[in-house]
Amino acid sequence: MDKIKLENVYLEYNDEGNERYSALEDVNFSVKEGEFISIIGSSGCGKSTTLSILSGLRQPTQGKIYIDGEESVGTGKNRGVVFQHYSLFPWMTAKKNVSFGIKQVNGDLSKKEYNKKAEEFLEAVGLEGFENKYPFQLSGGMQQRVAIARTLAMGPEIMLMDEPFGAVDAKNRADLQDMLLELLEDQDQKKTIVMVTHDIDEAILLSDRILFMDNKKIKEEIEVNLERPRRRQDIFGTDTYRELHHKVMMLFYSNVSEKIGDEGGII
Amino acid sequence: MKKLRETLSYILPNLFFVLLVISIFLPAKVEIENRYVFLIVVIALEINLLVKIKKQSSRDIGTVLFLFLLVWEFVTTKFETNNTMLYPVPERVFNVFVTDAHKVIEGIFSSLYLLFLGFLIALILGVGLGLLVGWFDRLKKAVYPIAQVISPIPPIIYMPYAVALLPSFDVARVFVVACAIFWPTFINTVLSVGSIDKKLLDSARTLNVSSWTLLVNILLPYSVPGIIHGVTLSVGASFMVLTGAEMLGSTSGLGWFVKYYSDFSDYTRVVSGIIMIGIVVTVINKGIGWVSKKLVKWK
Ligand SMILES: Nc1ncnc2c1ncn2[C@@H]1O[C@H](COP(=O)(O)OP(=O)(O)OP(=O)(O)O)[C@@H](O)[C@H]1O
Ligand SMILES: [Mg+2]
Repeated sequence: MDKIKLENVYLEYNDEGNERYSALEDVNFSVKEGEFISIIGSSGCGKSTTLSILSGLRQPTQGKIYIDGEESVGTGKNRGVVFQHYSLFPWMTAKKNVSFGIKQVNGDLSKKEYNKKAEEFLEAVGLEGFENKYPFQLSGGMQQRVAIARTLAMGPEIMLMDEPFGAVDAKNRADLQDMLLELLEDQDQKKTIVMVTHDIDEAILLSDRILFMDNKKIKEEIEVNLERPRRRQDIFGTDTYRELHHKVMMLFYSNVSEKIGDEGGII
Repeated sequence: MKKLRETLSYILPNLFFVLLVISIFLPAKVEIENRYVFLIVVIALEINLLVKIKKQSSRDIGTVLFLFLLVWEFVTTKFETNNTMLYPVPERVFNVFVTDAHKVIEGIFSSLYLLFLGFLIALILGVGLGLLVGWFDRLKKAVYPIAQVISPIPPIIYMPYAVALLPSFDVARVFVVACAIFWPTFINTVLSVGSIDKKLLDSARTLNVSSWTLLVNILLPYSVPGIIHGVTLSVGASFMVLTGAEMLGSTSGLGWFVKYYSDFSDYTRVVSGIIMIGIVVTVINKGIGWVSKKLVKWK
């Protein structure tokens, strides 16, 4: 059975006073249990919108979303979200942010246990010594790591991540990807992950499948048949890797030329 | 040129201090019972200045303050023609804190007690209702416009009516003080809640927080800086209201002290009372600043 399934999902933004805007049209895809999928596509094509539907923050205007075979409405404890923009609470220290998250799913631990667990997960993302810093005292990459630690610490079955490393420099980004690879292999029960990214390398390195999205729809699904555990130095430069990279690049380009072709037709 | 100005800013406050001390010891043409209380105050100010002498603003404040005290002292004590009833002598004004210590202290405590009760009630109600009204959009649209009409009305105006309605003068006083703090607190809480970043709310929703947690652990801490801002602005107003309210049917309090001696044209004590009010308000403001620093470490 599929862990997640989106069926004919449409979404119209209908914010007060504004005109209706259709952001998703007939989106269909499913994710198997333990699978890591990346959604890739040009800016504004509806990636974040898709994730907001998966997280339950928005309801589809039409269509349905199933989790574990059951129709899902609203947010749930089985899903954890790492947002594109830092989503830590500014009045809580790094540790407090994480333990606050744990508390919401695990109401019956003692304060000491919360703190211990929070410290463990902060250590896992390489933030030892920063437990008592407030978000404003942390760099963007560090804040994102706290957010990842919080989501991991809550132990959801499904992790939804929207460009989790978007605002991070190349070096830090590579570190965070490696960290994520490592953490995911450590987990006894493999998590189901949907990640939005703009970075083709990142998508190939991390995922089992890449969904290429364009113009409110999923246009293409690409299997990433690289063995795990993966290490970037082993993968980058292999033929399979180069083929995959080329394939995704071509999707971007063909879509660009299609669009230019369309406009040419109008003239 | 810059160097000269700098040096001058170090010399001037100390020069005025020395002149002031000399002036205090020069023979006065009016009767002075005890010049030492004033002297101690002046020396205390000088010590405070010397501690903070590195700060330019401290030196400037010292200059203005000592010059003012010097002129006040000199003009009121060195001329026989001075009408000391209308133009009180600083030595006598400060001596009141010793001779009338009992009344002054009682006044401070009585005022602070009423103020404290008023604050407590206003903060609990203002923050509690502010969070609710700020969160429920429909409630906000109904209540906020009404609040904007009522809040600018000076609360002291309710005093006579409150006296008639409520069981005692003191309850009425607490009521008007609470009014003075309630509205700014309430309005600032509502505005803070309304201004919370949607991303933070989404973040909270994906953590599946309960409504209570949302109110207490998200909206409240987020609003604290705004609430404190409102409180800081209303401390002065609340004291104004309180001193005003003490002028009606009271037997203690700083406002009463000033009003009572005004009726006897004892302006020396009136000025003492006014200075005391200034000191108390300053201490309260410092206290709030301190609490705010402790509470808001995240900005
Ligand atoms: N709250 C909203 N109200 C109205 N329209 C919206 C809203 N949020 C997004 N949109 C529109 O929906 C479309 C898809 O937005 P979305 O945020 O899903 O894009 P995205 O693929 O995540 O882009 P990016 O890569 O830049 O993050 C965009 O055209 C955007 O203008
Ligand atoms: Mg996006």
